[in-house]
Amino acid sequence: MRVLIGLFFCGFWKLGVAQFSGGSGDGFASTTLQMSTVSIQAQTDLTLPQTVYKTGDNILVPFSFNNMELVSLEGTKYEIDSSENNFLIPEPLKAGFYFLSIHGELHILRQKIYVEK
Amino acid sequence: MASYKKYSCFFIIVCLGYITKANNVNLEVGEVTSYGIDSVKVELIVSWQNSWDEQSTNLNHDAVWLFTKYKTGNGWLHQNIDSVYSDDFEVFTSTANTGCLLKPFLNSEGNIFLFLPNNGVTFYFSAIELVYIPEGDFLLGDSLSNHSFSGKNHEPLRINSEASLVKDTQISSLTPASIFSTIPADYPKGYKAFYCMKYEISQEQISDFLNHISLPDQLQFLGSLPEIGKSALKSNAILNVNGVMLKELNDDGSAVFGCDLNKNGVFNELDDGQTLACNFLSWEQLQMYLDWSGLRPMTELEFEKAARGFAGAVKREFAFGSDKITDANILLNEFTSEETYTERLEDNTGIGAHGYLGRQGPLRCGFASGENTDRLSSGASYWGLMELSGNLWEQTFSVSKQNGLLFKGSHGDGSLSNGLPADWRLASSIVRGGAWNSGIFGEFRDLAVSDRYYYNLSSEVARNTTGGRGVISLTQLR
Repeated sequence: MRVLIGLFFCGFWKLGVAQFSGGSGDGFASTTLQMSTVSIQAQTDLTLPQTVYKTGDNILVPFSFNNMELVSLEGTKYEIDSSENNFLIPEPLKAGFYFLSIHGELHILRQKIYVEK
Repeated sequence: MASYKKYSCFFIIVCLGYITKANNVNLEVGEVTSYGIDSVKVELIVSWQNSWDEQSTNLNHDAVWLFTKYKTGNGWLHQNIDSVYSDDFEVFTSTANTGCLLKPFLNSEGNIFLFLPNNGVTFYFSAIELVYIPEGDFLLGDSLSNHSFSGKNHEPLRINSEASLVKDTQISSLTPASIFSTIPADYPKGYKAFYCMKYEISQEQISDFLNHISLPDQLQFLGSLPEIGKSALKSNAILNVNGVMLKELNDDGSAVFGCDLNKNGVFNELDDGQTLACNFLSWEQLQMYLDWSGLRPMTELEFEKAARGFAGAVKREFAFGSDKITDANILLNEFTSEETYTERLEDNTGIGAHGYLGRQGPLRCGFASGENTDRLSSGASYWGLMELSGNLWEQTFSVSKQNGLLFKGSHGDGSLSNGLPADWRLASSIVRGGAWNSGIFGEFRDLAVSDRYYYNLSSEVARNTTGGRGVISLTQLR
C-alpha cells in the first residue's frame, strides 16, 4: 500500500510543475524537544544476529550511518562503507575479535564479533 | 525494511515535551525512543509544499537543511548530526557534521531519525528550504548593466570551471576597477554545484536564532539589548516593517525575542510579520546567522548563476529572465503567512517588490509564489529561487574588494563561540539584486541580475533594505 501511495505522489512530483511555485510561510520551521519532560521507560540495544563472521560476509543493519567501523581490540580501525544498509565485513590484518561499532560515543552499537580470515 | 523490523524491539517513549513552530516547511517531533545506554532516537516529521525534482532535465530540485542545537546551564550549544537515517528522504550529512540535507525519495513528506545524546537537555531543531543549483557553465554579465562583468570585448563571459580568472585577461567588467585583482581558484565562482536558500532569511528566522544563542552571542549580534517591546535590530526598525522585538528577559539575563509588527504587545500573532524577509541585517550579522546555521554566504558570481541559470544573458534582465517588471504594491493578507500581491502582469513581465510606491519595507518571503505560479508570476529565478530581484538586497562576497577575494568557500561550524571562519572577512561584500525601494528610471535598474551599481560601497552596516540568504556547497555534503 505504501508503494502505491508513493507512486501516486511520484506521478505528480516528478512532473516538475512546481519548480516556480511556493507555499504559505517562509520556507523555515523549527521545533524544540525538552528531554527533561520525557519519561524513559526502557532501554534497548541494537544487536547483530550472529557473533562470527568472515571477510566478505554481508551484514544487514537497519540504518545507514556515516561512522560505522570495525575496530580491533588493539584499536586498529577499518572504515566501512555505510552508504547502504548492507555492508561487507572488510578484510582485517588477522583473524580475531573485533568490535563492530556504530557511533561508538553513543553506544548505538558496539558489539564484539569474531572475524575469520 | 525487513531488517528494520527485525531489530526494532524498541520501547516507545511518549514525548510530551516539545513545541512546534512551522509554516511552509513543517517540522514536528514524533516518537522519542531510548537507544542503547546513553542515546535516544528522535523521530522528526518533515514536510514542505510543492516540492520538485527535475531529474529528466537539469537535476534541479529542492531540499531541506536541518540542524540542531541543545541547551545546557551555560546556554545554547551546537549539536552535531552524524547518525541519521530515513526511509523517506535521501540524507546527506555535512562533512563537518553541522547538519544534514534531506532530499525526498518520492514526495516531500516523511520521517527522519536522529541519534542524539540522552542527557536531559532541550534540543532545538531548525529546517530551511533549499534549492539545488547543479554544476555547469553559465554566463556572467549582460553587457549593459552598471559595472557588469564581461569578457574582454564586453560580451557576457562564460564561466566553465572553477579555475582562477586573471583580471583583464580572463575576466573583465564594463568598469575594470570593479574587479580588484585575479580571482583565485578557491574563490567559489558558481560553476560547481551548490544548494541555495529558496527564500531570503525571514524575521521569525532571526527571532528564533536570537532565542537559541547565549547572552554573549546575543550581545555580539545586537550590540546591546533593546528595551522590552522595542525593535531588536535597529531603533524604530518597525517603521520599515521589521517587527523583531525584545519580548522579555530570562532569569539569566538573556533575552527572549519575538515578532510584534502590529505593536499590540501580543507577540507572534498571525499578522505580526514573522514570514516577512528580515531587513536591517548587516554583513556581519548575516555572516553570524549563516555560521550558526552551518551554511555560508554566496559569492556575487554564484548570485548570477543562482539567478540566470543555464539560460542566455538578456540585457538588463531581472532574476525571472525578463527585463520587464511590475512592482508588487497592492497586497492581500498583509503581514501574514498568506501575504500575496494582486497586480496583473503584462506579457513577458515578472513580479518583484521594488520601487518607490507601496510598502516601505520587505514583503513576505515567497509572497508571489503559489501552487500554480510560473517563473514570471512568482518572480522566480531560473532554478526556482524567490526574490533574488527586489525585496531585500542579497549580501554576497565581492570580487571588487581585496578581502572578498580572500573567501575560500568555508562554511559555518555551527557555533558562534569559535568566531567566524577565517576567510569570512568584513569589508568584503557587495549587495546584489536590489530591494523594496530599488527604482527604475531610464536605463538605471539596480535590481537587475548583472547590475553591480554599489560595487564600491564600503559601508556594510544594517540598512532597511539589506538581508540575505545562505548556501552550502555540494562538496560539503556526503
